[in-house]
Order: sequence, then structure tokens, then C-alpha cells
Amino acid sequence: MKRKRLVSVLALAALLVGLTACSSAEGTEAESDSAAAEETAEDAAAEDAAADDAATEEAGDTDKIVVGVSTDTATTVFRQVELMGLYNMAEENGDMEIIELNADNDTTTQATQFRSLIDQGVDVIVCCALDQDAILSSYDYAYSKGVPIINYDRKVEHEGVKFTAMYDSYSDAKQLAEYLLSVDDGEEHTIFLTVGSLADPNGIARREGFLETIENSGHDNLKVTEIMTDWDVDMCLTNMQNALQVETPWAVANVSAHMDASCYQALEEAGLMIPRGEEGHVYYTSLSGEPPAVAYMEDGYTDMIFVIPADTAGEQIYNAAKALANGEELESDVFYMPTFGVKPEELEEKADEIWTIKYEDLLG
Amino acid sequence: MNKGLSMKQIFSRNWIAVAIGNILLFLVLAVSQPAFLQITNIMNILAQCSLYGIMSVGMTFVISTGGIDISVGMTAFFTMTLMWRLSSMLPVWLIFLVAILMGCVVGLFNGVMAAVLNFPDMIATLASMSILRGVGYLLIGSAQKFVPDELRVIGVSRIGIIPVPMIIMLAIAVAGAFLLSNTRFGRYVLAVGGNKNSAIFSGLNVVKIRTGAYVLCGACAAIGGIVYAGRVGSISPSSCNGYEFTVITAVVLGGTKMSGGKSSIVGSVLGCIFLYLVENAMTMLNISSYYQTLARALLMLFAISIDTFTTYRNDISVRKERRKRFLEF
Repeated sequence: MKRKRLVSVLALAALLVGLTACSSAEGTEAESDSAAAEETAEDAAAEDAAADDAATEEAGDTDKIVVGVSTDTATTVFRQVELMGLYNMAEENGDMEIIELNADNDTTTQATQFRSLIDQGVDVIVCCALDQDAILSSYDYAYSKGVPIINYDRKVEHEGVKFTAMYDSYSDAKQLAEYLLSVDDGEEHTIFLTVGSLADPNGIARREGFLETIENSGHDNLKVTEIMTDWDVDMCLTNMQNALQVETPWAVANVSAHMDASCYQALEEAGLMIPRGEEGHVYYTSLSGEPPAVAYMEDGYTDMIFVIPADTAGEQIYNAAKALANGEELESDVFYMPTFGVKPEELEEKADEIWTIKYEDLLG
Repeated sequence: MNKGLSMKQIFSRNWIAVAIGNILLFLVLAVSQPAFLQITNIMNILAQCSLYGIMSVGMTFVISTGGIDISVGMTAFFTMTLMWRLSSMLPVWLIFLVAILMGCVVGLFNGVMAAVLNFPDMIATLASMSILRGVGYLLIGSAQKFVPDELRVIGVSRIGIIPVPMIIMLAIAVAGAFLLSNTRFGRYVLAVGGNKNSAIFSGLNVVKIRTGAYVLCGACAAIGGIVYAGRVGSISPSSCNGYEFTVITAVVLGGTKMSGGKSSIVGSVLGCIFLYLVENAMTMLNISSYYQTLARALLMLFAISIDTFTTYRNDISVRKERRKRFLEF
């Protein structure tokens, strides 16, 4: 009993110290404010000037558009790059205040944060929905309060959504398939296709985009083996290893380049990591451009990468948010990041467009 | 004289259900896909499941005491991020040692919160999970990091055709099984899980025993992290996310009771093998990704049904035995 009491007292003390620390910090600010006020009171002219300045500043602040950003995760560089343009433009023009809240992959947290942003009186809300269905009640709330919604990365169908900045996963995967069709020699071949999470619309769209393109191409000689990954590198490695026990692929189509290392490790273990141009080389193409896609291409293995220019989204979001806050109509309600292919010989030429090269410092 | 185990004794083992599940699945695969029986495939499966196998040994100890540790995935993640950070500063052997020690420290922290401060085990380890994830993020940032080759030595090496992770898993499983069945500590672990109050009244130091189980679990999770880093070769912020649930599933499939007091290290390792056999089956039989989730769930249900059935049969025979003795009395 005594020990429990002691622990409770210690915990309470720690809590009090923490709260005191927080309030003392606020207190210091308040004290310095009042001190400043006293000083200005000594000089009437200075006081007037200060009041004028404050009024101008205040007016400036009220002119600023307040944008709430509800992100799904803070742990993906891709997401950070998607919003980079928004922050850069806001800083450059000084006309936008951004309040960002990160849901840390939790739908309930996202719903709570979303509502809190609306309650804080944001003019526009930008959201990367974790779950397209779970977010709908939050979107209803925003709609009822007249706050326009901008989606990014994932599409959500809702009347309150005025703009969406995303990539077209279906078309992107189609490009992977079209590339492999272009190098098909007509012989019987097996393609290993990595499949992302089937709970994620992007995972579903990429799978369908690839499979339907192959199916509709008339290239009946091509068989596709699906490698389940759930976007997890370990699962990708495991299932690649398993599939390689049964079949030798002619090509690998990886729907997210962050799993490249797993695919290549499995190929290496199977003795199939053979450089481009050499006999027995397995065609390799991947999507998104995330690391280490460029490295494997530079090392002489990957044949084609498709880069999603994540850094193009932010500027579009900024423009849309500004227009919506000013009550303007948008010319288009969707922006698709224009995914582009890069061949090994184009790597140098397109380096400025590839975000993983452009923002190398961010990647560490 | 004990002339070996009778069939009745064999079927009363709590790992028998998962063993039957493994055998049946093995047979189905062997018949339907000849490549399954290749030695490289068998070695692959054992190497693949070694990460969970190692973690499941530690988890079995914690669950045997009636506790639960949901921070194992993040302990492994934290260990990897720490190894990555230390990779340019320390020699490899020292990095591994530091990693295992940090796993023990995490286990000790969990043990102190759960056993000394009496926080509910789930809440205590949930807190550690969040802390470790946060620290891990700080250590690697938000981008995928690649593990230096020298740190991958354990994850990718083989002795002959046998993968080193598999050897580590077997060594830890044997040591764990010995510790649980043949030592005083193991018996105390089961006693605490079986009835905590009786254990206290019997004079056992429940706090020490529970903390010890958590320390073991932390160490196993850290070794799991070392194996993962070597095997996969990269660390991303989502690495090891949700692994605790797979480990717990394997342990429970292996016949360990969630309420504690009854456990089997052999069963836990067999549980991991079962999960990876299922994974292997899905890919080898080229089952469409949409059906894989359903097939996985059905196979798990099947394994649990065998467990429920064997437990039910054992209970019936125990009751019959008791009634017989009572009538004789």
C-alpha cells in the first residue's frame, strides 16, 4: 500500500511539474507582453505607433487564408513531398496560414483532428483520407459548416470535395504493363506482379490497371503471378522467394519502388539478378520512383522506372485552396500528377524532374 | 518404467493441434505442388519464419505468466533503427550486443511497469510500443534506410544450405523449451500464470518472475530485429508494424493459453511455421490475391478448430478419469 501511495504521489508530482513548466513558459510570454505594454505606456507617441503597427499586423493576419491539413501519416517522404509545394508557396506569398495535424495512421484520430480543424474556423481543409468511408462523416461536417474540402493522394467521393490532387494508380500501372508489352517477344513468359494492400484503393487500382492491360492486350503468351505484399517489404521478400521456387519470371513489375530491395534480394538469391543486356536478365520495372529505384537503375539492373512527380501536387493544392477561400470557381476539380517513364539512358537528362534526386537531402 | 509416450499422452500435448495442421498442410502442398518439397523451399520457409519464431519464444514466456507484450514489433523496429544509427560508430559484434541489451532494457521497462507498478500489461506495453516507435522515427527520419552489408551478416548467411536465422531460431527455441520445462524459473512462470494468488501465497517472487519474462521477451524481440534487418536489408518507418499480432497468433495457435499457466515453446515455433506454410501455399498455388485473405482466414479457423477439438477431448477424458476416481473412492 505504502509503495502504491508513493508511486501515486510521485506521478502526481511529475504531472504538476510538467504542467507548471508549461504554464510558466506561457507565463513568461505573458509577463514579457505586459512588461512591453508598460514600457509603451510611458511613451504615448510610441504607444500610438505600436497600436497602429499592431492593427496593421492584425489586419494582415485576418487577410491570411487559414488552411487546415489533415494528413494520414508523417512517416512517408512521399507524403511530405506532396505537400512541399503548398508550404513553399504559402511561405513565398505570405498569404496563407497552415495548421497541419497528423493522424498517425488512425482513422478515429483523423476524424477527431478533422473536426477540430473545422471548429478552429479554417477557410479550406486539405485531407489525405486514411479510409475513404470512415472519413465521410467528417466530410459531412465540413460541408455543413461550408468549408470546402481538397483531397490529396487518395480520392474520396463527396459533394463537399471541390478539388483532388492525386495520381492515377490505374493508368500508372497500365504504363508498367505497356512497357512490358513493348518488349514482349511472343514466347511464353511469366511476369511477377507485386500487389499492394487490397484495403487501399491505390493497391486495388494498380493491380487492376496492370492485369486488365495485359489481359486486353491479346498477348496470351504472358502469364501473371501475383505477389501479395500488403505494401510490406518483408512480406514482399517472403512471397517473392516462395514464387521463385515454382517459376522463373521473365519480368518483374513492382507497383511501388519502396519494395525494390526485397524483389532484388529474392532475385539475387535465385541467381536471377543479372544486369541489363546479359543473358538471363529479368526485365524489371517499378512505379513511384521512391528509393532505391534510381540506384538499381544506375547499377545496371532496372529497365524502366515510372516516377510519380509528388512535388507537383503542392502548388496545385495551394492554388485551389486560395481560389476556394476567395469563393472562386475552379477550372478543374482534379489534378493528376503526371507520371512519367525513365529509361536508363534518360536518367541524367531527367534528373531534375525525379523528386528522389531533387530532394535527396530529405531522404537522408 | 516409462516406455515412451502413449498415443493418449501424445494427443494430450497442447501443441498437437498445430502439429496436425502443419502435417496436413504439408501433405496437401507436397501433393499439389512438387516444387514444394525442394530442399531450398523448405529452408526458405524455415528462414522466413525464424523472425517470428524467435519473437514467439519470448512471447510464450510472457503469455505463460498471464501477461501480454504488444511492444515486440516496435522493440524489433527500435533495435534496427539503433543498429542503423550505430553502424558507422561501433564494430558489428558490439552493435549486436548493444541491440540485445537494449531489448533487455525495454523488457525490464515493461516488466517494471506491469509487475512493479501494476499497470495493466496491455496498457504498459502499448505505452512502450508508442515510445519505441517515436524514438525509432527520430533515429531514422521518415525515409527508408538501407542496412549496411556488415550488419546483414546474420540475416542472410547460411551454413551449408541451412540459413543462420533458422539456426538461431532453433537454438533459442531449444533453450527456451529447456528453461520453461526443466528449470525452477520455468515452473515458476507457469505457476504465476496458472494462479497468481496461489503463487504469491506459496512465497514466489511474482514481480521478479514476471519481470524476468518481459526481459526475455525484449531480448528475443531485439534478436528478431537483428534478423529482420539482415534479412530484408532495409528499414522503413512501417517496418515491423503489427508484428506483435502475428507473434501472438502463432503462440496461441501453438497451444499456449492466453490466460497463462499452460504453454509450449515447441507449439509456438510450430505456430510460426504454420503461418508461413500458409503463406507459401498461397503463392505456390498462385491463388488470386483476393482469395488469399479468405483462404488464410479459413486455414487459421481450421487450425483453431483442431485445437478446440483436442482440448475438448482432453477435458472429457480428464472428467471421466476424475469421475472414475471419485466413484472408486
